[in-house]
Amino acid sequence: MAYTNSTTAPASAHDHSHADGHDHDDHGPGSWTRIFTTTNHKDIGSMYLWFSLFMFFVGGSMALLMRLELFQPGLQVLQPELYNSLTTVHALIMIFGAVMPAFTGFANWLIPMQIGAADMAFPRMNNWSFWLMIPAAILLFASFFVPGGAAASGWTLYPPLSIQGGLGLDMTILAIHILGASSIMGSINIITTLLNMRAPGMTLMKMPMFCWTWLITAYLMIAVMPVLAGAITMLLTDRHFGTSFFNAAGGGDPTMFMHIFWFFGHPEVYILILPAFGIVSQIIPTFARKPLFGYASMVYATASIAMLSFIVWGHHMFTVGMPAAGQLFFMYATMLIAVPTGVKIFNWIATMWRGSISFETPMLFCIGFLCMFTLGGFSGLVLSIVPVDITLHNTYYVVAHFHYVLFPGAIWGLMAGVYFWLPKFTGRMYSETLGKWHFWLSAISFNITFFPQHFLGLAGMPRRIPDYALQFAEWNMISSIGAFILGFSQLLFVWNVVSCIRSGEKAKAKQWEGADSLEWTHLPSPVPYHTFETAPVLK
Amino acid sequence: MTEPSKKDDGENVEHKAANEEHPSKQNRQENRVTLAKLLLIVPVMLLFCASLVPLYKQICAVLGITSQRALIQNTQIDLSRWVKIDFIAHLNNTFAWNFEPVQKHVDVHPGAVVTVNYRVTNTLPYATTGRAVPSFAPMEAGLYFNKVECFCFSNQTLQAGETRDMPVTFYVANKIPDEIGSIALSYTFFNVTGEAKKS
Repeated sequence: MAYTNSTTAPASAHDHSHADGHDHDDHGPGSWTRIFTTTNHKDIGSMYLWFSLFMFFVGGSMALLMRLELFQPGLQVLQPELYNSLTTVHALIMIFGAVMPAFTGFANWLIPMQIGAADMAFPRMNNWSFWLMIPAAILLFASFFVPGGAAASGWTLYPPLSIQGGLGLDMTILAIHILGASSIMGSINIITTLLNMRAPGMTLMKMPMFCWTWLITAYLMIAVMPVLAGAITMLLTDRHFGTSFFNAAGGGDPTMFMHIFWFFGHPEVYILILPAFGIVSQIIPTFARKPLFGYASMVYATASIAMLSFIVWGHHMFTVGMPAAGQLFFMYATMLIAVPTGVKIFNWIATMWRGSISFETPMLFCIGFLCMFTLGGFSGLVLSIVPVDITLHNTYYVVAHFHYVLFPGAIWGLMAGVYFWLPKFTGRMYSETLGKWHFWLSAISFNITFFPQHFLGLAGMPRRIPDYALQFAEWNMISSIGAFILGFSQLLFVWNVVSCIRSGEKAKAKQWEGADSLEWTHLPSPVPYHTFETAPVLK
Repeated sequence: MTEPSKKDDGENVEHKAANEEHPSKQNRQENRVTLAKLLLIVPVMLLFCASLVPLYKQICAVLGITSQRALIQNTQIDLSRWVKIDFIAHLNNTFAWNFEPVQKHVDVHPGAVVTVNYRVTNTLPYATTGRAVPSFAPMEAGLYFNKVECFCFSNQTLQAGETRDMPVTFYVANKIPDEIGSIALSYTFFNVTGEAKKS
């Protein structure tokens, strides 16, 4: 691959002096239209990140609409059908449109640089996996405007609701199929890059943790995305081709869908969190100025979490009437996951122990991650207890639990990553003041939003309803107020990123003195468009 | 990895880079192989998805996980006491059935759930409907004798020559006084064929 030196990456659209002296005319160098054809991992990484930022705000707006409706009991803003569509599409967009693409964006940017490769293994497939997401996103949005509205069955698409829905459901199924294909291609690309293209001397056990967590995540994705595709294909044939996989009227079993779906769904939960573990494992040692404590145990813990994730799906469906022995098995297996997760949490704490810690924005987000994610993990342990789960199933307690692991877990991991690598990507520094405002506003408002939902759930408020009994009014109002502060404080993030790209102070090649992966030690800031065209030799 | 092999890797790649115009050529071949291997996971997982139901059934059958009640235990049994239950069967006169308890008596702990059977045979050459009415001796025992399932008070139609086992599931309440050491449960069958036809 060769580019003229006028070719610029969007994130480094100024002053980079890399030139390889060849002309190449089929990419329209410098023109924005190259985003359609680019095979450069940095371009594609940026595209993924911008796309997911956009989707994050779309999904977030949907959440705010729901919180607006829940501000008071009674129906004020939304009709129940639209409300149900919003819960469904909010989840799908946040999972498949925001969190997963954002991690893939980081993978694209960082993996080649961290292992000393020139690019991803299959650059054209890389481009294709990104562009597949656009039609999928359009299908999801457009489904709001077809007769019957968007899918309203919850993101889990349980039959019989998902068999009864209108055209919107077919569009959702198609969108998930496309996103699944995109994820599988992305994962294959990442695994191949990591296995075959490491620089000499970069052994597997020397890879930065971010690469390790992504290697394991990518295997999870290839393993479970086909299962999801199988489940929703059966849904599609039940809807249109007269089969009865899940249709009880024809001898099918709706419970079977739940088993298949959650066989995908639980590993999916770890797909959403493992790369964040990787990002945090890079940032905490940097700002604690100590190497990561227990690197090998981190690798093995991540792998154990991934393997255990395949045998715990039943805990999502304790109430369907499974044998007590089955419930016990899934309960103990679920609790077992707390062991490797605990290993990771304690390793991060041990990394910080007696470190010379400084609290820049990325570190703040990581420490926030550590506290809040652990809280979410604990409520997960509570939910894994069968008799407790049977009363808490489908209540707001569950909503609080998974938002505690996903917002401070996945999203703060991503935010920390953006603040951490922005100087490297753009060659400019973000505003530390704004970043700290962003963190503290998020941290406080997040807890105002979601902590009361534990109480609501324990008091018996069911999830996925637009209206509720009067005794839930106060906590819902508090939760809605928190949600609006949380939503709007994310605008600070966009402001910070944009002003960093436009007019931030110049960043140093090794902006963080404690950073030790190749992109900091071997490459300037901003990173040139092409890096490591000849592999670095590592000792 | 050990030190010498690391050195080897380094030399190999430097050599490659020096001699080939596209240092990635060999890489590309390796990548294709990895791609093919990884793509293989997709159909395997689709197949797994399709076989999830039979697999689940097989595993449950092998491990004997079939009943939700498998681990539910009755903690209300009073093991310190025994109550003897006698079963008695009566036929209202002019009612030519055979009717008798399969077991004449059982000894139970208060609180334990027990099922016993009564056997009826219609010895008449035509279908007949009967209805059973229970009674207890001593009468006071009826307060502590809880029937969970019983054939009494409902019409039982038997075809000519048909034999049927009719279950009674019951437990004796824990609070039964000590002085009631035995209970006689008696059923009397009445012929309600005509009545049943009318209604």
